Amino acid sequence: MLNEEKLFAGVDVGSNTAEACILDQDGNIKASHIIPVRPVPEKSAKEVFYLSLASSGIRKEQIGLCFSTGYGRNNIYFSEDNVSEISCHGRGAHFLNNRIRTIVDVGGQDCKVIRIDRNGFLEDFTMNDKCAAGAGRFLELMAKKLDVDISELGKLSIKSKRPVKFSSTCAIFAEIELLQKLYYGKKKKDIAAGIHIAMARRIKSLVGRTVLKEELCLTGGGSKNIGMVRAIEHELNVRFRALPIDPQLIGAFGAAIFARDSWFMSERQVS
Amino acid sequence: MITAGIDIGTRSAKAVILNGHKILASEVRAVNNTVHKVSCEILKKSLQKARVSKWKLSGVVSTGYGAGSVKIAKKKLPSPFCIAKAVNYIDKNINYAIDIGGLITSSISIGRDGCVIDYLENEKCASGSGRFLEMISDALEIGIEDIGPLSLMSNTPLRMSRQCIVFAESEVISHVNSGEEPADILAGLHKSIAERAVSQIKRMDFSPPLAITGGVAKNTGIVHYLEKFLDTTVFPIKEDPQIMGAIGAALLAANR
Repeated sequence: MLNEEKLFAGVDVGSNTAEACILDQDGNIKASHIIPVRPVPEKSAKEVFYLSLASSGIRKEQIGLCFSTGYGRNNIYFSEDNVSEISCHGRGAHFLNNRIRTIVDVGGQDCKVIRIDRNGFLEDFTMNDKCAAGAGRFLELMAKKLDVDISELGKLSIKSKRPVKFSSTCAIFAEIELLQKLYYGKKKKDIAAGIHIAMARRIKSLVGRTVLKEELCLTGGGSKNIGMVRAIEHELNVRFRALPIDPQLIGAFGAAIFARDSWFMSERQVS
Repeated sequence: MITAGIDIGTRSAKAVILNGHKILASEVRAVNNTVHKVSCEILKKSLQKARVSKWKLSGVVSTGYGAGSVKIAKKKLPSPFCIAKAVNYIDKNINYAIDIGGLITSSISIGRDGCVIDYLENEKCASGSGRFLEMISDALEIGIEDIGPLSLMSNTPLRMSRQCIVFAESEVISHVNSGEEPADILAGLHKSIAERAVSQIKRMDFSPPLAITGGVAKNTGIVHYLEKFLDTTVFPIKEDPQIMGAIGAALLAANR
C-alpha cells in the first residue's frame, strides 16, 4: 500500500465550467472530467473532483496532492494550495510543448494573452475581464439569439463565404444588431461568421502591440470552436499549435503539474 | 397643424400625434425584430386614439435607433435633437437633459431655443442602460416598475464589482445565492447605473436645471441617486418621459 504510486490532481473552477484532471508521476492524464459550474464554487470543485475519481476507479487516498485554480479556486477543502489560472495555463501548455511562448485563452467570462519564457515561467499577460465582448459568454448569447447550439456555431460559421459585418462589440448591442440582420434576411451562417470575426477583432485589440512570440497555442473553451480558431488565426495572422490534450483542460492540467512539482520538491527535502 | 413623431428605440417604439403644441395621443409598444410592422401599428393606433385621419397629417418625423425603418416618415432626425426640442417645450429654462433609454444613454446640453449645444452618447457599451434594469428585474423576478421603489428601501447598498451587463447578471445571481437582500442588490445596481450617467454628464459643462427623459426616468431609484450624485433636484416633467423623443420629433415635423 505504501509503495503505491501517488497521483496528482488539479481542479479548475472557472466561471462557466469546472474541470478536474488526475495525473500520474510522469504527467500522463489518468482521468479528467468537465462539468458546468454550480452556484457555489466549492460544490463545483467537489463534484468535478469526485466524478473524475469515480469515472476512473481511482481512490481518493491515491491522490498525493491536489491544487486548485480558476475564478473559484479559494476555499476548496481538499486542495492543498491554489495557483492563479494564468500560471497554470503557462505551466500546462509548456509541459505539453516546450516550444510554446504565447498562449491565448478564451474562457467563459474572460480572455487572456499569456506570454511565457523558455522555462515555462510567466513573462507577461494581458486580460479582459471587464467586458463580455471577447469572452465565451458573448458567443453563448449570440448562439441563443440565432437559435443555434453553441457547439454548432463554429461549424456553421466556416461555411460562410460572405460574413456579415458587425459594428458593435458590446454583447448587448450585438444582440440587437443580430436580430436586425436576421430581420433583413441575412443567412445564419453569414451572421455566425460575422460574430466570430467581431470577437476575434476584440481579442486582437487586447493583444495590441505586444509581439506574439512563436509558437502559439489556444486554450480554454473557445479553442473547441473551429470558427473561433480560424477567425483569431486570421485576425492575428498566426498559426496555433494543436495540443495533445483537450485544450479546455489545460488550467486543471497545469494545476496538477504544479501539485506534482511541489510533491517532488518536498519529497526531496524529506530524504 | 397636425404632425406625428415616431421614435423607434432599441427596446420600445413610441408615436405621438400633435395638433400644434397640443398632444392629442400617444402610443408605446415593445420592439421585437419586426421593427417596420411595429412602427406602422403604433402610428395607426395613435391616429385612432386622436380621432384623426392619416391624410390630415402635415408632417411625420422619425427618430431613434431604428428611425430608418419608418417608411412613412419623410425626415429622420437624431434623437438628441428631438429630446432637446421636447424638453424645451416642457420648460425653456432647462439646460441639460439625461436620456436613459433601452440601450443608449445620452447627455444633452440644450440652448434657449431648444437647439442642441452639445451632446454625448454611449454607443459602444450598454452598461448603465435600461436593458440592465430589465435583465436584473428578470433575474430577481421582481417587476420592472417595482425595482426602483424597492431599491430605495435599502440602508446598505451592495457594491457591484462588474460594469458589464452580461457579467453583472451572474454577479447578481451569486449575490442572491449567498442570501443577500434583493433591496441591497438593487440599490447597488441603481447606484452604479446612476454613476455611469453622472460620469458622462460631468464630462460636459453641467449646470442645473436638469431633466431626465427616456424609459428609465420612470424609475424613482435612478432619479434619487442621480439627484444625490449631482447634488440637484431633477426638473419634474408632466408628460410621460418615455415619449419625449417622439414629442420632439412631432414638434420638429411642424417646422419642415
